[in-house]
Amino acid sequence: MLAGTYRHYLGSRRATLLAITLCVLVSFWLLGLNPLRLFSGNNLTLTRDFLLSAFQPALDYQKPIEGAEPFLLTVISTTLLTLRFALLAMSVAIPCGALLALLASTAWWPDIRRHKMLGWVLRPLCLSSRIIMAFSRSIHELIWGLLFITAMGLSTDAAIIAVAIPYSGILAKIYSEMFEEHSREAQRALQAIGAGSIVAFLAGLLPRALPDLITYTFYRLECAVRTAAVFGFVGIETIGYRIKLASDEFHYREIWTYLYVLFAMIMVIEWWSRALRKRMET
Amino acid sequence: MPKTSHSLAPTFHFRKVECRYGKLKALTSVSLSVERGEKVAIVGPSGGGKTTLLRLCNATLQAHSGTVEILGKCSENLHPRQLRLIRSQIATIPQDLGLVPNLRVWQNIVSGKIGKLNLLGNLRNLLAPSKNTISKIHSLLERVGIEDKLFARTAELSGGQQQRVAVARALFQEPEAILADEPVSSVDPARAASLVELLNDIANERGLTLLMSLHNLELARNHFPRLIGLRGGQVHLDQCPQQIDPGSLEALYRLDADEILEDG
Amino acid sequence: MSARAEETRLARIAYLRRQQPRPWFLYLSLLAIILAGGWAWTAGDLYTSVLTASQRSANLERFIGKLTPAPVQASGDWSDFRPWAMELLVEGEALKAVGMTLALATAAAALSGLFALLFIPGAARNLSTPRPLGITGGRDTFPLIWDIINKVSRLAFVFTRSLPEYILGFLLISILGPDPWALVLALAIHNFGILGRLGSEVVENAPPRPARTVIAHGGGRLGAYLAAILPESFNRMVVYFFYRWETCVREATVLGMLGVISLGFLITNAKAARSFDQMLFFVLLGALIVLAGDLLSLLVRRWLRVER
Repeated sequence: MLAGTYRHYLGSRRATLLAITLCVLVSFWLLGLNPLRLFSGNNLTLTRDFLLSAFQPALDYQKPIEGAEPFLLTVISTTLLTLRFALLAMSVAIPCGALLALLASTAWWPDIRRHKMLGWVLRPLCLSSRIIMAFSRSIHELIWGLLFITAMGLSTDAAIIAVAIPYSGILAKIYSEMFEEHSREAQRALQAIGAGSIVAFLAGLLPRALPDLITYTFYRLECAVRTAAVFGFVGIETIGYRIKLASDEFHYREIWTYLYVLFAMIMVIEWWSRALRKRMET
Repeated sequence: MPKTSHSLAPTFHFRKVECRYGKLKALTSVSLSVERGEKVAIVGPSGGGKTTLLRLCNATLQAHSGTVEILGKCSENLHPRQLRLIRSQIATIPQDLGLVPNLRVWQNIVSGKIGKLNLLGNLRNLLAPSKNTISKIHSLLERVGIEDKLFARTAELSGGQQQRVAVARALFQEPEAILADEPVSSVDPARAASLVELLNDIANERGLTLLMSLHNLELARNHFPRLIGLRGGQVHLDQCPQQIDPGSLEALYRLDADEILEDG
Repeated sequence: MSARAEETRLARIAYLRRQQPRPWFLYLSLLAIILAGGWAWTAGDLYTSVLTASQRSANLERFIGKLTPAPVQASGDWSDFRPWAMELLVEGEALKAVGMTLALATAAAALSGLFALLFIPGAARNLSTPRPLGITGGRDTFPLIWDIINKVSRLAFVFTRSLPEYILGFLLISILGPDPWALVLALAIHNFGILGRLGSEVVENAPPRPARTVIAHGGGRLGAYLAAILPESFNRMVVYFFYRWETCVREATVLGMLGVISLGFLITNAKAARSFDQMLFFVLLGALIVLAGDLLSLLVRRWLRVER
């Protein structure tokens, strides 16, 4: 995605590093970050307790609860709910993102110097979809969620839409960048033998970009799983919800179980994406 | 049988054509005519205007003055649909071949007809081609010598094999003429010669016009009955190879003093 | 063409088709995705809402009614907007929150970048091997060590990447208390994983010749990394740094919801006080910084890249 040639010699490499370092120091000062504070009070003991629990994730409730379903069953149903939330959000975001990306990219446009009329239609369409794209992703999914919840209360639809809005924007941005940046040689060759611009896009550019599009979509699914977990904090009973409950009781070992589950989900998605890509490229 | 019926309009007819990129003149006052079934090599130094000439021939570029007639039709100010119609009758093999590496060989070849079909027809061909189509593609691959690669992924093929896929795509298009821009610049001399021979044979068999730009002067002289030498955007020579005297060839490729300095 | 010849051709095509390995994995993946999507949509609600439809619309009406800034609503004159906004920015600490948000993102991106740089040579497959860059490393008493270093650093990247910033922030606040450190570390830990992975890919794809030269002249793996690979891929690394900084800004706006001053904190406060006009103002302010961050990062990345 970010391939290409880079300036070999930055006007001054040292200046760049210096500027970054300066900004970082100012930030540390603004936030009052003192490294010593990390080791003060009972921070160290708590951290040690928390990290040691990593070696013994819970397989049962740390404190038995009367009449509750077995811990591992809860883990499984929580995992499935998290996955389902991510899938629901993505299945809305992918078509919306793809549509926005097409509207925002010029790769499939006919020559608008020849079709003057079409240009008058396409240009504002492109601009407005770029604005929608930028705006929808500039507000974080949790804030969209918060807005929806304050406006009409929490519901399945509200949660899905809250995630789908910024995700469509991000997917659209990356998709359209991929359309613009992929090599156009096949598309041009097809246009040279009389293909219309849309057909040349579909047959020459889209198949080329497809592996990249799929890889990125899988990365986004990974993010959606994380976001779904976080939405536990606004009340949907995903992994985040369970972590919050366990943390209120200081049940660190239960927390680690859920963290490991999240890790496993991410690993599986990453493995799948890699395996697909390998088979699509060779 | 080669059919060189001169009753038809010439494939390409240039009259005092001038073409610029910004201020840079790519072609100045070029007049020439290529008859149907003729096989012509375009030679000359880089920047001489070879690619510009070819792009005028498939109407992907417009002349700034003068007229370009393609298959008897003036290529200026055409409706986009008519323009595409002309392009669909001229096969173009670009230097980079313009294949989609992660599609199968047959899918790349089937897109040769892309300009002759509508959207639905194209989608059908790309996704669920008929038995006849596949059989036709197989016979074309047989002709270019790689029939066993029919279902292979294009990226898996060697450079020389990919060139043959591009040739097969041009044939599937069933064109009146084939344009090839430096098709052999990336392979070794033996392979280059065999590809040039193949294109020549095919053009003979089907009575096609063949217009090929070549860096390699030797290849051009051995395989083509007519050479057009472009230098500085002008036709420097236009003869059959036997008539060309060494002096004019040397003049065609001579480096000017400032060019030597630039290269050094 | 004779019917006979056509028949042999078809037989040959059928044979070639059989010869080609079928992409079963792709088919199965497609099927799995369709089934998973169908399951997600048919398995019921994620959350059973207790609100009735009428309560919901009443809520919505009240929310929309309170969206216009209070003084504007009172006077009906938009000229009252400016003093209201200025008051929120200065006395309502919104400006301070904006500064904090940006500072959080910058500090976190820097920390994650620094630690990622330390782990990257371990995770890069071309360095952490008995034969760095294809040059023999001599006799190794324990050749497996490289494999272990490689696996461990990769695992560290994937694991930290799989933890969401918000959950990390929550856990760290429960350990460290409401300290900006908690949020900075939360952002830094997650981005350490992402930057580490991106960075090790950069190192693996860097042109090997300068690094080989270092090793051929007697340098070691670290020497090759510091003297050849890092300078060579400096721009690419900086591009990734800004790309992550941009997402850090976006995340930093919400991390404040956990109770440390940043925009998220103001948003949740306004929500709790039911001043929806202020809430919307802070949300839009957040959107503005995210857009500004995107733009800055885009400009820097454009400047670093010569051609696309």
